[in-house]
Amino acid sequence: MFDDLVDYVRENYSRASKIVELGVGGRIEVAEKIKKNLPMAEVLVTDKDLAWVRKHVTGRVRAVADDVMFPQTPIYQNASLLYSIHPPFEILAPMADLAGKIGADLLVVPRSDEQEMFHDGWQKLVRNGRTLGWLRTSRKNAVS
Amino acid sequence: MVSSDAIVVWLEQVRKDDIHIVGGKCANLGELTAKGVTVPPGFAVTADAFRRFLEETKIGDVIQKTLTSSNGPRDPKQYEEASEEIRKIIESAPMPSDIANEVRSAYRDLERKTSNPQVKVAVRSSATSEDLPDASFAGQQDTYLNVKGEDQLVHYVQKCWSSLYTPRAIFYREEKGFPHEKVLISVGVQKMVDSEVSGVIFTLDPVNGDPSKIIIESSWGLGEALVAGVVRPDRFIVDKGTLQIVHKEIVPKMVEHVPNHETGLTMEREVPAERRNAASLGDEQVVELARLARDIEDHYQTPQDVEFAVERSKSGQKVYVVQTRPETFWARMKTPSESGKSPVLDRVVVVQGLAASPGLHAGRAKVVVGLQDAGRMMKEKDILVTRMTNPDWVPYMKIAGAIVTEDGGTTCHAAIVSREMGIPCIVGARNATKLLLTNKEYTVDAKAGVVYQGLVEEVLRPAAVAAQQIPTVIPITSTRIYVNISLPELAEKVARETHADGVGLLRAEHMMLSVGKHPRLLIEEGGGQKMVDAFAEGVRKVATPFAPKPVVYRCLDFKPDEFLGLPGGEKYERDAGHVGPNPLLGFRGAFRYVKEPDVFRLECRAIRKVREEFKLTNVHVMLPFVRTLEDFRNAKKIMEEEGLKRSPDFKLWIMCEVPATVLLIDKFVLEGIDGISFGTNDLTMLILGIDRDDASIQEIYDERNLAVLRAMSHVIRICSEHGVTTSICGQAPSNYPEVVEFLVREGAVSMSVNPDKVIETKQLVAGIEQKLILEGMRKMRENNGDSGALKPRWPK
Repeated sequence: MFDDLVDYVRENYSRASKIVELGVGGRIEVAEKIKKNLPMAEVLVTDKDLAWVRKHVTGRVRAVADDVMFPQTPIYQNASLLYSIHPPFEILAPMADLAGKIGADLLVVPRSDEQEMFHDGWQKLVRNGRTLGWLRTSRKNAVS
Repeated sequence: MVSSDAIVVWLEQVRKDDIHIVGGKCANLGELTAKGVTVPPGFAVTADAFRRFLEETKIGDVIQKTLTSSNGPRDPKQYEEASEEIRKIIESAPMPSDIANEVRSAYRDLERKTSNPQVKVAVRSSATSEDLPDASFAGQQDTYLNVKGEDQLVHYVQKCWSSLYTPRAIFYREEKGFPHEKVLISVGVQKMVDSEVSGVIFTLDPVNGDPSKIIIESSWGLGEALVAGVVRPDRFIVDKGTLQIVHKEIVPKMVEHVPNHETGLTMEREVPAERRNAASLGDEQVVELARLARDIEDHYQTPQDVEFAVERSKSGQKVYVVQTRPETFWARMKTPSESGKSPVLDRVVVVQGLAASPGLHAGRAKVVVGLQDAGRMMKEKDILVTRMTNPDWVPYMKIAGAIVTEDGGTTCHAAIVSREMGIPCIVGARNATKLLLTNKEYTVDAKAGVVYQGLVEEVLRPAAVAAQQIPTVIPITSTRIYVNISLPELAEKVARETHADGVGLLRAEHMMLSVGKHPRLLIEEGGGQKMVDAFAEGVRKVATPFAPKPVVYRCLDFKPDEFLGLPGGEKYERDAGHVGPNPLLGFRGAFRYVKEPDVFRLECRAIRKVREEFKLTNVHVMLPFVRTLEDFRNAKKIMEEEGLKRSPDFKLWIMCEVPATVLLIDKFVLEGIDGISFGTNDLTMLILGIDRDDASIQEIYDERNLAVLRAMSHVIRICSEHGVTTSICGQAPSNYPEVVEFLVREGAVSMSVNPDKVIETKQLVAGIEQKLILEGMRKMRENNGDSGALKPRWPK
């Protein structure tokens, strides 16, 4: 599941020192796969659900409680990429603000009926002829 | 006064400033003991004892060598190896006899104090590095429970020491350039509390930082289960000012952690049926705990995260505070502002009320009870906070930068006068005189009716101020403008800020993600009710702030591949053969409800619960991706069996997103629908024959294609003829103003857009409606033989 995303991150962020999944919900596998592919990178996942984070705090991937609507920016500092899978559309703007503030790229894999919300400043990522997601590149953060 | 070279100190001897001696955890417990709070009795093995252990066994150098031989700071495997080696060294080195003797002697004293030979103790590390701003990331040293006897204790103290060298802790210190030898560790030893109930109290809402609330989470048994997240706790929200319980969530608690008296360890067991659904805390206990936590916060002058345990003995129940620590997530947001003013806490809402006179102001609050106080306290540009004003207050209102009153509505004295004076004003702000503090800085956003803690620069930015000076006009339109919502938590804010006429699309998918399991797996595990409760709660959060305006709940419309991320997804979607080559055209929508009625019935029950138990009859239902009349008929039958029958009070809508629905709309109308909503994304895909996910043909995907517009026109005409309401919840109106004009002209009754587009769409629609009126008038004149031009009518 989301193997195309993992491949994309591996190929394009091989030199990243930090990658953060926003609003990870109940699915930590993607972050773990990215960590496995990029062992040198620190891979963090965040969610506002404190109980969930406490449950997952001991993996290879670090889990931190944070609400992207009111983010604590130090958590994300030095990240090259923030990504989110199937986020509710209401948090798109706060995610973009956060990525802009810390100079990270933002990659969003939306649910199928929320695909049409990506316009100015978003680049469609296509892999194997299918839409993989949408990328917002930070000027500061050149993709390697 | 504790000597810094002591080996063991009792908790009652230490204070909060002794972190360098006993670590943060024990220092806090000592401080609480001194304050009279009941903490389990115990002592701390000091950081200096650990330092002496390193020196006397000479293993400090060995550790250093092991760490420096770990090549390259970025190889996690090497951290793991170094950690394993160092921990082995620490745990196997003999503890110097004087240290061991003191630890043993203190344990015997504890046996005497508690009148409990072989008293069981909890052994916890208490790091001295709390001064590191991000220490909570690096911390997480070990805790051992149910330790019994002197020998075991000495062994576990050493294990705690070694936990200072977990791979994560080593990595963290290397990353931050913090010397390993500077970080010491103390170990707390306390009598085990045989908890009947345990829990955590936050003195602010950890989700949004709201400092006016106290959140208590509790569950049966030892606190481990709660902290580890294996149980969903009962949750209580208490108003910090009044100590009233404002929200209570009692959930089934399936497991608890209890001491295993045979092994001396803890074990997980099922909660006996009679306690499973019972509240783990009574209301009185909740209030007492809230009061205790509030006192602790007052003492430390910063929000706290307090762990507690309730022990039952022959003499009754006793509440212990097991641990307290500063709440770091929100506290860390307090950074000195560049201007050197007081710390800023970004967007923490302190009180809310009715926006009576729009505007923004930041300044110091003056909480004024009587007029005399006003004369004494109020200075130019202060925020006047009081219960209510009357004409005698006007001189002080004039000099205020903003006004906040506890009572009143938009026509009260304060509201009228402040509007006349152009002073930002919020009225009806409950508990404002208790929650706002004199001489503290706040930002009053009287557009949103909210007072934020501190100076919120984002709110006060010149652009925001400039925008504020031109009041936003929200016109009334004949076409209703609804809003789309995915996250129920935001509904209240959206309702307040957008002035939408209702919710035209409440998505269920994120509620499902919050439940965290595939619905079929839930049913298999007997957790169907969990889904009903979670969905009902989500819908309640949306329907309440919008009531009595309509809220249209769209039933779950995951495509099969979108379920895969949930536990159970692979089994019940892929293995079940539901993930076809194009999931958008696959096992979804009304067809799925009929094939899997047990899942659909859970959704129906949730809606029924909202309508009947919560009395929110403004909630209606919309079925997505309806392909055939038969599917619709069958899904409707299931709804009726679940008590959701169409009535003047309960509306049934369908999404119009499949060409078959367009072509057979007259049949659907006769079958019995109250409304339709266009899903332009799928409708465009299916009318134009474009796979929305296939990147190679996206250039011809366009919701404004004439074929799509004709389809919508046809449906609106038929529905209008039959009194069926028409709407749209796809992305088209948000993206294309010309689609908005098209829909208004065709006679769509409403349209539903994203929250950020509501006001803009209202303004756009108002303009279009005025244009239509004008065109109509011209036409009438033309029909009457006039030129059609509108001429000024001069007074006679």
